[in-house]
Amino acid sequence: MTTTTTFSGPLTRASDAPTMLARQTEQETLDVCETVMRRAQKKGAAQVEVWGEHAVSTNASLEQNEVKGAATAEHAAFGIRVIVGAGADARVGFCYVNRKDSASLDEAIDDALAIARAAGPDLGNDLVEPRPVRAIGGLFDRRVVALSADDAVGLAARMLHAARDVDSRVSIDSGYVAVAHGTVAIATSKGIRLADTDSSVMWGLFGMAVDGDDVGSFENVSEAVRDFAAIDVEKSGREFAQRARALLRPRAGRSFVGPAIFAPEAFDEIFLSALSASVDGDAVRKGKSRLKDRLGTRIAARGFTLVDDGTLPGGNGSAPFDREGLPHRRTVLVGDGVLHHFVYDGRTAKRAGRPPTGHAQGSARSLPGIGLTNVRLAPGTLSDDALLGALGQGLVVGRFSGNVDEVSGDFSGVAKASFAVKNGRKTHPVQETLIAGNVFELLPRVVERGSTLHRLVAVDCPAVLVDGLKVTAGA
Amino acid sequence: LSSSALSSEACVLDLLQTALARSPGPWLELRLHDRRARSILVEDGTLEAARVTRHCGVGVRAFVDGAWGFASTSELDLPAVLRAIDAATKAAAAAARGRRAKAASPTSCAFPAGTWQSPARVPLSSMSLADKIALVHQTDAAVKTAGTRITSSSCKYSELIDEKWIATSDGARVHVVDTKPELRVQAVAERDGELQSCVEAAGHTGGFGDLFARRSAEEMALRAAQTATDLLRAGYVDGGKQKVILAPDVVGLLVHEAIGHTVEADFVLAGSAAAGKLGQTVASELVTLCDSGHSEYVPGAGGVVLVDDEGVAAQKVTIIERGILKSYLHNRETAAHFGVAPTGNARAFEFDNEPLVRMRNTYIEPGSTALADIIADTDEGWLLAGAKNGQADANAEFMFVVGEAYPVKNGKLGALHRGTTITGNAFDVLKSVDRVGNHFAWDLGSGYCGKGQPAKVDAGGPHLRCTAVLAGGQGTDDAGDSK
Repeated sequence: MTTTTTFSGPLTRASDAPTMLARQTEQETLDVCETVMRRAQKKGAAQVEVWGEHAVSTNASLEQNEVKGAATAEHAAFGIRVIVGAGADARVGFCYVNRKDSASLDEAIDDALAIARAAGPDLGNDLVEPRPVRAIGGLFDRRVVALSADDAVGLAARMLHAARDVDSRVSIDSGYVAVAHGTVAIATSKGIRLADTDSSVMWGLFGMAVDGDDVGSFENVSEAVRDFAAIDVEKSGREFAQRARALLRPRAGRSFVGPAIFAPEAFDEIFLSALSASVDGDAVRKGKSRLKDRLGTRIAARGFTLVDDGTLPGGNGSAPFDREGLPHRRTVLVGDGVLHHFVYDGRTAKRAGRPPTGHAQGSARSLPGIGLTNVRLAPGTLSDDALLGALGQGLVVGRFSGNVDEVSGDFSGVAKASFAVKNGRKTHPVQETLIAGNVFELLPRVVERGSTLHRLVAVDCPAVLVDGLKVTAGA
Repeated sequence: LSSSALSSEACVLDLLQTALARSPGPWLELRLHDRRARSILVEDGTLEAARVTRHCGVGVRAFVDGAWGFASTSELDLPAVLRAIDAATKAAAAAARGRRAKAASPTSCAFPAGTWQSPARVPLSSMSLADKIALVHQTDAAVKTAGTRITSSSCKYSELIDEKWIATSDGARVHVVDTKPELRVQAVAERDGELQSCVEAAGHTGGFGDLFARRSAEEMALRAAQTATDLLRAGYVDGGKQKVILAPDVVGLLVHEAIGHTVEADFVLAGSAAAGKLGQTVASELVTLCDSGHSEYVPGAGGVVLVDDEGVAAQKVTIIERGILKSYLHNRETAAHFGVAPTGNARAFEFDNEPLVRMRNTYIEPGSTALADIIADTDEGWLLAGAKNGQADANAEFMFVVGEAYPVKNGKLGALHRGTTITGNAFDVLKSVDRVGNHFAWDLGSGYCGKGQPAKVDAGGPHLRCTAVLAGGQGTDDAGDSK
């Protein structure tokens, strides 16, 4: 991990070649950002923010039970935010360009200024003031940077063979191993000068089990790590195969209104996605959040604690600073069932008259938006078997394929990779089974949480037992 | 090349040809894609985001020893393109070392030449940036003032302006120009703390004459506001297996999600539900289902692709003809595997994406029955409209979400009910089709299809009557436990 900042100077002193190269790229990217910022000021911008990116990636792909190919890329990108006017008359424009020659950057500045001059004024158009930023450990691993296309292909092949060795009926439709390291840099006319480099390895499999005419439902796994030593593609391959073959020979489910266990993936897709959208300060300010008047009140069952922490060492969603150059932090969103905090970026905070919380997110391709970093739902005390026992009879929802209305909290869709449960045991996979409910009405009806946390890239979540789900069987 | 030099077609093709000439040996495909995009978002009267983006570079595919390699660069000079060719070649060689068997090499074919430009009525360049911002403001205001229950409004205009040059070592030399505008309008209505929303959207290939051919921005705003307001007092759908009449946008979602993905030849090779079924009856004989790079029946479909990203002229593919499965959708590699001609379905979203087998404009051909007659002929069921999102599975089980449901009882159409989710086995649903309407519409051109990378597609057809499973909503809890 390397960080360059005008506040505290270089934060690491590592001298190995990948780290030195990262430092050089940070300085070069930051130099372009500063140059563009000064040019935009000369052209008439009152405030300027330039966000620069430099990314290097090496990928290997799988298709139809074979290595499909490999790919490499090295790209630069710049997002330029300009503000003309001041106070209540401040107007904003934005341009993205993936080239760094002078003509392209000048054209981008002109486009951003043209938008700003045609746009309406808004009080929120004021860049954030600098704040001290601290380094976060475990985000950069020089051993990841050193991985080659041959290494990526080797990892993909090992993952494929691990899956197929479990059961030859398992068919890999597609898969990937993606190795990346990237630098981000930001320079603003308010005095922010920051750069950082991180690295990651992601891998995943997508496919199904096929046994004659019996084609199982799609299954998938995906993992992401920053630490070279944590790469374990074979484990993912085995898990994928075991999960895919368990979906063969599905039968009809049954219709009922009652309890169900949501596997971590399903709970994230339905409940955590709606909660994330509803603690977004912009949705709150615009009246598009069901939680807009609920700060300090109970919104979920006791024991339900949800924390966002962008400073987690080695976290897939961690970074020392956000898309506007403010430090990330740890935020308790829901504590023991009570709603504690909404999250803001600079513009929304300004409009709402609140301090920004370091939750500006996005890439060089667009203006910053609001987003969470690493989300963790506190685990409970029950093992997976004990959770099934607590359910007794009902449904385990593995994944969800449907629609969640983030405004109302209504959801309805198909329960995928899901199992009927009787006498505390999974009996068979179900097909054509629809589930429906409302996130905000079901959160107080969370009965139990599993004791095992599953990491879903940047979300740590246990299995959750919820009562009151509406289930409609098709066949 | 400087950024402005991209306007010279010959200059770009010279660059690609020179790079190919200096790289004998591997099969190579070079694709320079210059994408300029604009988007303008107004929410509740405030310009939330307006941006111009330019994403430009060269994507290189190499085929070496039975494996694929890909590399991309945003630098547009000869040394950078040669470095990308070298990287793609090395990546292909690395992949070849990891394979057990060689992949089929891309099939040879005749390539279209020259410049291919998608038709556009009233080009996007005819309106200034300031006028586009004004249009979005006006449309947002039209939502906000459309009713007392409307608490929030938004309007987003976006456009993609694409220019591509494709050259391959086996002879493709083509220049493609395409524009795709889109408008989305959202209304949120509130009553007693309950919020309901409705999105109206249009996405087309072409210009403003195509975007607003069916209805104006103001008409979209008024319908979004009215529907969101009506949903506040709307009832819920009864769950279970039902007779349904699908509007063209929902038909589009059905044929795209539930059938289209299963006939993409890469999915077929992985064992999709359509594998091994060529020549078999997979649908009612009333059903003829196609995918075309052109805009059949009505101009301006959102997924128009005249030449695909392998340089192949886009064909109209009849996937199902009167109920019989006739063809899959192919790129040059899968066409070689199946021993057929490529269909022009290889698409890459941007220069740094590899081309994949994708749909374009997917539809069911119109029949002979008027919608009024289909309704009059239905004792009990639901008319479903307002397609939202959907997904399909390898086993052809699909789910999609619709925003509007209207009960049909004794041949009469009832009042708006809240949206629901539909599921079923796609081929079973197509076999259950017993009425096909006579009015055709494209209605899925806004938004994107995702398959690792986005793609602009469109879909549609006439109204269809069939049988599917609907999710029940609140108020139907007494539908009860059938254990």
